[in-house]
Amino acid sequence: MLNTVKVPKAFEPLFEIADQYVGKLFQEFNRDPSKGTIRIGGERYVLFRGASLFVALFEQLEKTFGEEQAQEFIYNMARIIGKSDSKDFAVNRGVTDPTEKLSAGPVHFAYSGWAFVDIYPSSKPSPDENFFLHYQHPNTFESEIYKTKSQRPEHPICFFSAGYSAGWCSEAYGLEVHAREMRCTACGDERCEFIMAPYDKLDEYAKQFYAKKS
Amino acid sequence: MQNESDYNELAQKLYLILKEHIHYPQAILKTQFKRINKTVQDVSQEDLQALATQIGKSVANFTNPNKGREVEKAISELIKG
Repeated sequence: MLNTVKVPKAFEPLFEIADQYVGKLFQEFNRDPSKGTIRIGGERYVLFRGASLFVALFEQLEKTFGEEQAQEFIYNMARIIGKSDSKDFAVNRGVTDPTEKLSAGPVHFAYSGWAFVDIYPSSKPSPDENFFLHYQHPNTFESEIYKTKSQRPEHPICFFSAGYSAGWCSEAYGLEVHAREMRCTACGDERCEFIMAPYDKLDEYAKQFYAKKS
Repeated sequence: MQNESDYNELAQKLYLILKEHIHYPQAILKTQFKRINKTVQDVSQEDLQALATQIGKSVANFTNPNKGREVEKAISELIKG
């Protein structure tokens, strides 16, 4: 049973295969402090404390370059990491179909501790300008950490999560897509909800999103 | 780090374009010119033509696609004179 990701019924078989693949990799979790290494499925991994990775880094970037630049930097850095992971996973699995390439992304996202992914049926992932993904995370690491602060943000703050997913999908589908967080638990919303599409279409989808919700 | 007044005219104009779109224009200028063995003092229009797309991509990679396109467009206009 698929329990590391929630996807529309039609996609379940592909994601089950990805779930088994990534699950097997993470069973090969070797931590050897005597050598200062962590390897998962033979690959070198590193662990960061979430609060340092997100809050401390963000605050320093914000103080130095300003809020917008800090957001852009973190989002784009995560997007580059997501692209790289997506590319290597596709090569290692020997998959070429875009949706198969996508499938390991949310599962890896869950196993790595970023968040659980729930892709809505309204999503239409396709390798062209019509690409659209609508999904939510009930528990991004950023929002969980942010909620421990006394201050509530004025806007969504899950830039790592948004960037990583956008990078993974861009690589999988061979086109540049971007994610925008529409609702965020750090702002008091029930979930962190995102849309993803080619950059020029995001504003239009965002308008539709708010029109439907109002 | 060189002062902008040490830049040749073209590099100065490019610096102003980048400055409007990204917070670290000097780093991009220096890095991109180095890729083609040029400096802010001897870069030419032909050099900029060769670098326009890459500079646009670099800006887009750390801001957003719109800013990347705007920079590339502004460089094209700068080259045309």
